[in-house]
Amino acid sequence: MAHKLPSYYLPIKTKREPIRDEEKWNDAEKFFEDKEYKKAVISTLEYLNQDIFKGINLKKDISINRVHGNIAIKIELDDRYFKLYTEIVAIDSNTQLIPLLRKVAEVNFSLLDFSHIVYDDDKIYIDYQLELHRCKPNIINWVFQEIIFNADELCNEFIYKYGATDINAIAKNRLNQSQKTKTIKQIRLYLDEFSKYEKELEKDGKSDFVWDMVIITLYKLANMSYINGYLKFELMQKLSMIHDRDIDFYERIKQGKTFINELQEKNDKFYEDILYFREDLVSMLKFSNTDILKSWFEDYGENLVKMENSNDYFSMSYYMEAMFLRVIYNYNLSPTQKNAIEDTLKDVSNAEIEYAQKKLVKLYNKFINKELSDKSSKFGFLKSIFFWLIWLFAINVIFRMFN
Amino acid sequence: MLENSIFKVIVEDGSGTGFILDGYDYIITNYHVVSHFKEAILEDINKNRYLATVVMVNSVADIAFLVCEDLKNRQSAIKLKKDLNITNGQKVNIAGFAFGMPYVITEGIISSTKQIIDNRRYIQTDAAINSGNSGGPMVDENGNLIAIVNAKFSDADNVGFGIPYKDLEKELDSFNFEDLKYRVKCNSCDSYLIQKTKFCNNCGGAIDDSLFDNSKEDESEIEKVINRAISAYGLNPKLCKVGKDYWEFYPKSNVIRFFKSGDYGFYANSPLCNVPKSNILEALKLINSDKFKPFDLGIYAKNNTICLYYRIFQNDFHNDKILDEIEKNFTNFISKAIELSEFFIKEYGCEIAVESR
Repeated sequence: MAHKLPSYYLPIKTKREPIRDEEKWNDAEKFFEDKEYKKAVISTLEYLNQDIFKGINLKKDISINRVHGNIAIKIELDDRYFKLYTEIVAIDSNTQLIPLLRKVAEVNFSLLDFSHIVYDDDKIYIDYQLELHRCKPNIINWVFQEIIFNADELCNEFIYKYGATDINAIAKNRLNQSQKTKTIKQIRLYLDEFSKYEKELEKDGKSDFVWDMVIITLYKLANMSYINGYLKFELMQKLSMIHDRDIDFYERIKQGKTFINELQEKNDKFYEDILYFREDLVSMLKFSNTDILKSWFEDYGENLVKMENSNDYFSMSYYMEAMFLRVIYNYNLSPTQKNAIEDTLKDVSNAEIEYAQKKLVKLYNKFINKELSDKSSKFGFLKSIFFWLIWLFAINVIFRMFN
Repeated sequence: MLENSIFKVIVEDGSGTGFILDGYDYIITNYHVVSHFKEAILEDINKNRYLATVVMVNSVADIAFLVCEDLKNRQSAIKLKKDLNITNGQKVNIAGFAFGMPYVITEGIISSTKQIIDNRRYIQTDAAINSGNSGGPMVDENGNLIAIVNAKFSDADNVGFGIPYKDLEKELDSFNFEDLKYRVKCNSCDSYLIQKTKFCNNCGGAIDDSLFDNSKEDESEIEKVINRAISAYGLNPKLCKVGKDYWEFYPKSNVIRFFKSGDYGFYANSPLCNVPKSNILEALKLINSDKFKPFDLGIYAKNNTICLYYRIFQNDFHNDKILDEIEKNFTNFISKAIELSEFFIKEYGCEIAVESR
């Protein structure tokens, strides 16, 4: 069994993460230079999410509410200030208030660079405002992401670790029953398969590969974007731990195994609660294009060549599977790129190592050769309309020629 | 007491150690500790600061002399004994500020009295020598100077080197100037040069003219504002600046730091005291409130300290609309940090922060 790659099941297709509008960055900088500060802020936010102000009259003062994961965020922009307000959690009699407030004080000092979480009136919130003339695009870009990403993540942590109350109560777009059943089944298959492979690898004297199996298993779960709530937060923490070279290698494997064993013990109700589709205001994934991805994949090249030269297809296949799962976890890929990876991983699911290695190398080369489009489907759709119009025009011309 | 004769020597790009010899007014250190600086801050073990002027550098011997008016005629426990007998295996003490940390003294033996490196003679010891020890004294049990510690070659365990006291004696004998002019020693003819030159005026020997350069850059916008803010509080900003865009000082017990952080931020922070051991909920409510604007309070988890901080953008220093306001805020930050430190200690029985003096 250990001479086959582990299973991979296609996740439910979800809409693409919010897309950046790269061109807006130059606009934002130009507006700021020209002292058109309000326009500079608008362009900066459109750079982060091209649809953020869709349907909004930008000539008047702006006051909009948006959702990012677990939190609601109010964005206000008038002629003097840019303001962000988000409530993270509420406190009630079940909240462990002292540990929570201590955590808030620690987060304020060490995690946040420019924003500050406040406790008042039994609420924990961020109320940030900045005069427009201080709103340089790089500052707004930083502060905006700092606030929404941390507020979203801390909301989870404060609720699950300290018993705080979900103040935002964002309506959750839950999976339907068949999606839920299928997903929970997939999760359990991944977790059970981990245990089988772990035993098999140890029996074959390949116990170091348990580390690969831990990350492959965790990435497969983390890449299901509809696994949310506390498990999303835990997966992020564990994936960060598993790559942390300051922690002893075997300790990392041990912690990973313990975590996977804990997940195996969870009942269906636990998974049902954390399965829902997220709505993100800004993608937490890194921006990507073909050049960025080419360079990212090239960094793996040296190790791959070493493995290939020593005909170590076993290591190579595990290494590449983890690599492709990692790129999905880290980057906001185009549908073409994401589908290509997911389809290949499905193809090599449970496949013999030599077959898997060839398929994975083929996909790797596509990224190195920039063969997979980084355009979003929006552009693809416009492009297809354009070709259809040309096609209709040509038919019309031919038809006229013969009549 | 040996420690009263030792100082941390601070310049913008690092720190080393310096010392006073009994009967001399110079603070002696390595040239490489103060290289390309004409002024340095001296900090004693109680964190009192003094401004010193560099008056002589010999880059070949790696020796520099500094003069500080406030430290003149100061008695020292370190003595220069001519014809001191130095032997292999003899016990030595190394005193200084390793890695820029607080004063430490380490013990060892002389491993070699005549170790040759780059055609110069050094005294080798097995005592722990680390960066920051450079320029400090290596003394015998009676406080007699054996060598000036030179950490430049100390990148292996149990191997440290010092410039023999005889080399220093030679410098002391030949340097007889009372003024505070910066002088570069010609290592060929032993004359002293004041004007920037590529050749010695006396013997024609080649001189590295960069020895005359001053690394101190022109005052940046940040420096101007912060210096004015510190002056407005009544302190000498020159004695507070310990690195490029980095100020650290003790107006009272708690330390105050102003510094650049990352690409965008400029921060002020001050560890006020430790987190209280009782009445914690009330203290935490206060810490997480919005009552101290534009400043905030937080807890530094690593050392269990309540900190006051103020965070702005580097870009704000180029924004005329708010320059006066931020300058005032930095001045007020100093008073607020002192006030809140005293408040938490008095009202909540907090212990003073480990970094306080």
